[in-house]
Amino acid sequence: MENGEDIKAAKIVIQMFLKARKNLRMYPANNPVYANTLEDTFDKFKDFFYLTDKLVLTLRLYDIYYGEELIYHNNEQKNDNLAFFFFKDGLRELTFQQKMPFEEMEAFLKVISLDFDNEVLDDDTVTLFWENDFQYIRYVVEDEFLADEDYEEQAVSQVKKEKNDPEKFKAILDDSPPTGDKIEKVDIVTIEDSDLEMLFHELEEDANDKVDKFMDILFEIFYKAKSKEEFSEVADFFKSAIEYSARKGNIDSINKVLARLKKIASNDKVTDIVKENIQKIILFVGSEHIIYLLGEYIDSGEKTDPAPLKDLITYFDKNAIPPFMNLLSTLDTIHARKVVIDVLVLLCPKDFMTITKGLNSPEWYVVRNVIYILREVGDKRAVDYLLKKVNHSDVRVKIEVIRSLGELGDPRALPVLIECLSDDSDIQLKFASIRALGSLASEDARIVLLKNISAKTFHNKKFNEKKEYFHVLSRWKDQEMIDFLIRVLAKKTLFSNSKVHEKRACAAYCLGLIGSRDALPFLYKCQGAGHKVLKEFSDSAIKRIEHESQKRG
Amino acid sequence: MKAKNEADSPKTKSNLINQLGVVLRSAEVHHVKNIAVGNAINNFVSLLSEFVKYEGDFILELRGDFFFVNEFRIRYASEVMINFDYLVRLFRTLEIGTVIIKSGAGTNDIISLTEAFVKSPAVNPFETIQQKMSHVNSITVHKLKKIVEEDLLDARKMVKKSYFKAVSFTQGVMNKIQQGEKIALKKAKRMIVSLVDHIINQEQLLVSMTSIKSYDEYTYHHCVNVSILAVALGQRLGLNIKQLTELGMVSLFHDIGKLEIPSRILNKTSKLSDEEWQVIKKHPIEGVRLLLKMKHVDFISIRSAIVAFEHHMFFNNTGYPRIKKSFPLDLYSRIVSLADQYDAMTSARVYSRIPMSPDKALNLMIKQAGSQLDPLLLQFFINMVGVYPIGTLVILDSMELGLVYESNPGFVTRPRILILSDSNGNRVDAFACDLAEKKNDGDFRRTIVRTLDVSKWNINIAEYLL
Ligand SMILES: [Fe+2]
Ligand SMILES: [Fe+2]
Repeated sequence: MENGEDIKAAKIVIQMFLKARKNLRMYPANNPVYANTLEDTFDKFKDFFYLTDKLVLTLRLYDIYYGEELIYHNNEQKNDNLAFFFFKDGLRELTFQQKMPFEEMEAFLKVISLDFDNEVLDDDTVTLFWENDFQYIRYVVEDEFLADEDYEEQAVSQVKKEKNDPEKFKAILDDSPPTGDKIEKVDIVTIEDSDLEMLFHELEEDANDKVDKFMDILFEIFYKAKSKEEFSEVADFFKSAIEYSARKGNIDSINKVLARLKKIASNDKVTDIVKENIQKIILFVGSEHIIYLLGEYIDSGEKTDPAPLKDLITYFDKNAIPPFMNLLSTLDTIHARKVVIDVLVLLCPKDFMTITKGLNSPEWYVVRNVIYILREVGDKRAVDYLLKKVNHSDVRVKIEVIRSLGELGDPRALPVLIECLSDDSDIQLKFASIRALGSLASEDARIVLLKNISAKTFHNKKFNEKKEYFHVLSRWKDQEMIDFLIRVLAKKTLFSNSKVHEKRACAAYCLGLIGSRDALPFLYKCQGAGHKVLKEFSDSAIKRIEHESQKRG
Repeated sequence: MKAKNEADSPKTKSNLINQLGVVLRSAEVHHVKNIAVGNAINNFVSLLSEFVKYEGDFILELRGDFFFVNEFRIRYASEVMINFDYLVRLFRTLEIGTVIIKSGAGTNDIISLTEAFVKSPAVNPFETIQQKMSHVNSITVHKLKKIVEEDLLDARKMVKKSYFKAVSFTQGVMNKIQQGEKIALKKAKRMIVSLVDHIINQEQLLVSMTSIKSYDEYTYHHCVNVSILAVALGQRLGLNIKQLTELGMVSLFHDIGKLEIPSRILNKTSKLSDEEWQVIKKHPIEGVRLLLKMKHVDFISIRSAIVAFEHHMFFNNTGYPRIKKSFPLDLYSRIVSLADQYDAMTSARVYSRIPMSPDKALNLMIKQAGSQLDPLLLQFFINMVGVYPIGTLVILDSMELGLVYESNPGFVTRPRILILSDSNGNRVDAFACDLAEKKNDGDFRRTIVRTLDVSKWNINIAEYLL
């Protein structure tokens, strides 16, 4: 290329490598920047290949050449230096061919973007290029792995030392017929389709995780152990294997190991050393480190089946609670937090007090999660702690408190709920209070609700709030309640008053929920009502009641 | 814009070869006009038409033991193995080296090619085929080239260098481990990568390196040999490149536990006592210990530990260590068991004091199939080393004495050999010959009649194979 267009294009490709190394490290694969970087680089390659069909880069310690042309220079001995990065692993030349597909370029960029400085990697660039089995990216490597260069000569001369005596050959033939083995017919060598099928099956099986097999082996070594040191060593191996499984999220395997260990420990004949070591392993599984790894795994976005985790925590004692509580403030995904919350609900009975300490967390969402946990556990002792959190600065926490107080059903909650009912600052909080009163289900709660409904000011409330009141009333299905509702429904006004009709509609709605057949005649009457909502609500209440009674026969 | 060219992927190329095998195999049993053959041809043509869109012509060449498509070496995957082997054999028998199918070739052209192939005579097959195909413009055939001696010599030199480097590197690594020093696994992996690369491209040359057993430092040669044999077998099984590297790594360390065994027992030349045997039998467990203490636990260390533990357990769990709760052996353990047994039996340095000749070892292994060894894997192993493995001393029907130096894909009983002495027992300058070669009348030129015990006759094969 006379005008040096190709040199320019090659330089741009190198710049794209540098950019890709930055972006692929910084952004996750689903980020648009990540995808755009790949597309851009591919485009730059295409620009180059438009000019010529092969990009050959010569690699030196501090330089990269395209033909005779120096196109990159950096004299730092750091992995950031692209020339040094390639050179130090033995790469001396890189060739990209025109037909290189996108996927191959992507794999290449992924390798050069790995963080070799900070990650524990058993591979270098050459190994990784090789494992990718590139078809259109070729590389020249200088292989030197600290081997003794003289060994070949030494070994060869040693084995060749003894020369063959020509007389031997004669002797063999003279020994006639020569004592040798007649050849046997070997049928085994024809490989049939059925053999291949068996082989595929083998290879498929082999794709499975190897942890269970590894654990089996550790058990065998455990059985053979005799001295204290041997037991403690195998216990350490188990711990490493468990750590590995936790990293991989293979909780099933951990459970299997624990079940087997427990069974061994429960045998009267085993010695104290065995029991101690088993205990050591079980404690390790419930340790902060392992719980942290499990948290990292479930937070990584891999879908986790909650069942194995539930099994696992049956082995945990109260010491597992604080590390799980820590996860509540560190995990990012909703999915992971939900998993941890469920775990804590199960662990809570082991140490109620420690869980309540989470209520003092500076993060509102942790407080809310803990309140949820306390509610799910249903321990009445929680009420004291909850009452202290009613005035939490975050309304989302407050709502959770209100809801929990209701569900825990403690009468001490009543004054707090009444107070919140008249708090106009947050409609959700109000709704929560109405529902909580319903959850309390006490006579006092009922009185409060009915009193508010009957008050003049009720008419001025928003329709949704009114509906919520009546919705909650439906939990009382006694005659007295039905009579009250029918009275509201049948209330006549001289003038068509929309506010009154709204309340009537809500009563219809509630009667529908209760399923009162007594209300039917009154509801039929409302079907002809001019008020749209009243008519609609009556219609659906009728349908509901009729449907219910049909079902009952 | 993503350009995913399915049509020129290695898979497509391998499919094309495979399909050509299907066509020719079915044409051997049916008439070309038969529906089975017709279907096979149609499939081939449709694969071909996709391929030529990207690549232009389809150039299939047999070079050494491998097929190349448009200059790309096509790898052996087990699902195409039967047809590949068949085609290699067919090309050799017919003396076909290259078939060029130009874009635009249609069903009728492929039918002509098929007919020419299956109806070729035993004498001068290539010339007949070429003559028959002369009227088909879109297909040309070329005669099989003899491998240039010089190229072979270069390849041999490179492989040799790589082999001895691996052994010496292994020795260094083992010494470090023994002294409790940290080892650089990256370097070990690079070493394995270079071995695996050679195995993929020069399988037989590397396997031949394992056949010399008289090194002083045999322990380290054994590690590398087992690794080579295991990877070569793995390749026949269709493992991918990453798996082969893994397999190479874990097999290199299979006997690492021997580092914990006193050398006076390990290197004892007289018979071992019962107590000494008990010590030897600890090496699988010692291996697990060393491997787990060496580095953080990851996939490779787990697989290595499994293989170290299981490699003497036998297929039916009757070996050692004895286990309480029986379990089937891991695939890699079964592969390594085969490679290990074979190398150990044929050498004088690993347990047995009298080395067995390779063909005898193989016969013994066949007897152990199903009990000590995995019968399925053994089948693939024999296909790789041949019925007369490299290093076997043979007497031919010509009364010449020969030494097997390379197995012959597709002809398990007809390896390539070096002739050591003439029919009168006079030593000659060793020269190579292929037992699959035929005379003008279509009969084989030479055939093995007997095998001999190398150690009984005390022939130093290193003189010929290195
Ligand atoms: Fe061993
Ligand atoms: Fe061994």
